[in-house]
Amino acid sequence: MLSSLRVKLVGEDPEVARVEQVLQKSNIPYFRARDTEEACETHEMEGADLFVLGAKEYSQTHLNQLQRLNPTPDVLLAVGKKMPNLAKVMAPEVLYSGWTEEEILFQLEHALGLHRRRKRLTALRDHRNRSWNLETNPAINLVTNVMRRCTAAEQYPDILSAMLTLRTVVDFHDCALVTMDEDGEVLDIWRNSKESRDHIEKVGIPGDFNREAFKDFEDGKVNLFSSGDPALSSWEKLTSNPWSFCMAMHFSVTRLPRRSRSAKSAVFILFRRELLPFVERDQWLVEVTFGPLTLALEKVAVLRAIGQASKEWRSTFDGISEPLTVIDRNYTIVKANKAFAQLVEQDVKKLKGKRCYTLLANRRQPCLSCPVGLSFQPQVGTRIQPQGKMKRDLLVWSYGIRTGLDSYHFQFYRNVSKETALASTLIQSEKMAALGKLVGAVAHEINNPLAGILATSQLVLSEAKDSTVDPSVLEDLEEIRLAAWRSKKIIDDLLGFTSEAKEQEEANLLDAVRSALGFAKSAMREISVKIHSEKAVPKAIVSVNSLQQVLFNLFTNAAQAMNGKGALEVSILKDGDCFRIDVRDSGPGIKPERLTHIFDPFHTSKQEGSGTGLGLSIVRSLIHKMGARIEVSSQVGQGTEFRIFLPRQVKVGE
Amino acid sequence: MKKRILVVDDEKIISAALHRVLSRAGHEVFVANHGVDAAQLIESTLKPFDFCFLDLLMPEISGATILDLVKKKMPATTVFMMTAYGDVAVREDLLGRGAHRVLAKPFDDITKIPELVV
Repeated sequence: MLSSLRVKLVGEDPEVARVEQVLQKSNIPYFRARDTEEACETHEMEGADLFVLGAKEYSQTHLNQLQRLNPTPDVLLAVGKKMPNLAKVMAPEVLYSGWTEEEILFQLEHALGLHRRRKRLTALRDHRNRSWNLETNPAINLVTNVMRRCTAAEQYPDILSAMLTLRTVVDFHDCALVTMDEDGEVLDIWRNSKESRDHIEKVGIPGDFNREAFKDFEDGKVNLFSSGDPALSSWEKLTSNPWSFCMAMHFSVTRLPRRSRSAKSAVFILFRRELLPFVERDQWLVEVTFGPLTLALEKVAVLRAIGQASKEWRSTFDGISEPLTVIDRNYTIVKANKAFAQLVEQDVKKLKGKRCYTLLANRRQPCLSCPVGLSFQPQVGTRIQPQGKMKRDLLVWSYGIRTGLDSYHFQFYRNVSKETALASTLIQSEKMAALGKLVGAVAHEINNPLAGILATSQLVLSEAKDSTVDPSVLEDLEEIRLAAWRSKKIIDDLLGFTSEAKEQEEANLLDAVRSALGFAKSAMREISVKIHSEKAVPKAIVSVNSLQQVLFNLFTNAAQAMNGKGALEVSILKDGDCFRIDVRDSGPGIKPERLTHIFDPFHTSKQEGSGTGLGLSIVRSLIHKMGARIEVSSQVGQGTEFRIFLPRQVKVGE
Repeated sequence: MKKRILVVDDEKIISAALHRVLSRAGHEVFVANHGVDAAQLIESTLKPFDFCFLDLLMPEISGATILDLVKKKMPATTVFMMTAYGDVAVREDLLGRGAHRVLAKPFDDITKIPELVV
């Protein structure tokens, strides 16, 4: 088996001589060279599988040199038993020549096995390369890489530096890119300079450098030549070395990236400066790697053009602040912009393929008033009002797009929920104003007969006390009087609610609080009241009656909330530009969901008949009329606090 | 002391109640249920009234007109205006025209009305 091994022995070392002896004995063919140069250049034993290097010949330069051979040989380092540590680290494999003949043979045999296995692997890899497996083919990866870089950078130098990655496949010293216009005239020459590998320089076009040089180049085929070729003397300058080996590949594209739009073709050149010609393997590798480059670059150009257009379209589409969609005839969304995604509160990427009515209205069928049917007619905007959880008010325009057999609809939405809400608030407040007027008129009308009923019942009662009347009749009369009295209170409330602003004057807030407490005394018998006030008598411009009414309402409310027992705290303090009156009770508090409604008219927590639900709305309307403001905060179980902010008008000169 | 009192209200139940409570207090009470009647009464009477209770809103002739009439004919008369429309502006206006007080209807307690007539 060992006889099929082809060995070159390199070096004068005794270890090498020892191996030579063994090989001689075993009749294994070998060639002994004095040094690596000789071993590489000789034609003896060409294509040797195994190089056995003496320790003196063993260096990185020599190893590099050996690895450039084709086929790449395995390298064994022949050493004695005691070998230098450095060699141990660097050596690919070590042959111990101090051993017996059998041991050395065994090692050689082992190396042969390894070599064969490696060869099989290489063959397998080559096969895979040829079979164009998209995922494993390094060439494809390389082109993809180039494409990616081209797309990102849009510049030749980047193509060049991308091509430097070719070094992983083929070793070369330098590369250059020559671009030409459609007539083959050279436009630009870019070269990757050797000194700094990533530095790209533009090379002046040599005078005699012309299209003749590339005349016979075929697209995607690699041509090998050397710059020393007299017909291509101008290459000297390009490669900056008269004796470079060059490998050039021509590819043409419909449109090369930005730099020179007129460029129609380009030649990519790899140089090897040291006298190492490119071999068939390199040629093949470059061909499979860069052959598709023509296609790839063209694809890149087209893709970029499309990408640009698509980007522009996309950014326009997304830039429109109103929701937009394109739907097909089945109401399936083909495209939607960001505003639409925001409208339906979904990720813009997840919208495609969903039905517009599902997203907008959570329906299983198209919205009843959907304007898709009007797509090809002028419209004024159709109102759709998706109900349920996602209640909103939308105006929709639909524009048809016919593409061949298919038709799409461009749906333009406008969210008018806010406007609608505003309008309804306006309507509501107008309604309330009208209602207020009506209530005022009715209350006044009722006041007259009610005055009669109340007066007469009071009169009859007072007269009846003096005479002897059936006590049950007296009770009935008292009922009538009470009912009339309650009606009077309700009407007073209503009139207070609808009355106009009252005159404002400077007033002592402490007095106002005290008098309001006095009015409410009957309701607060078992309530402990504390009043805190600033030392300086707080005076504000208010309508005293309104303020008293406000405080009275708050106090009686607090008293009712506390069920007649508890603590009420009133504080008067300065707060910036305002005086603040805090009314804090120790009642059960108000639930957060009710807190926003407490100022609404006819909202009451009390049982029917015992309250009009107007108390706090009167408070609010009076406060507003005074130009003041009221806040409320409450915690269930802890109590409620109302804060009244009264503007403190400081007189000029004070 | 017995006073001459004029009560004018188109709401009969109120004028009746006022008549009742005031006459029970021992006063001489004249009642008109219409502005026109009231004007006639004021024109025709020889002895001026001591007090007048005038409703503000009445058909044809309003209480305010009668107030002016009373003030012109018998300046010494104390006039109480009664209204269900307790507007501040109206109140000010009436007081400016010579009304003694403006009473809001319904009264809190009608039995306290005679206390005003002194």
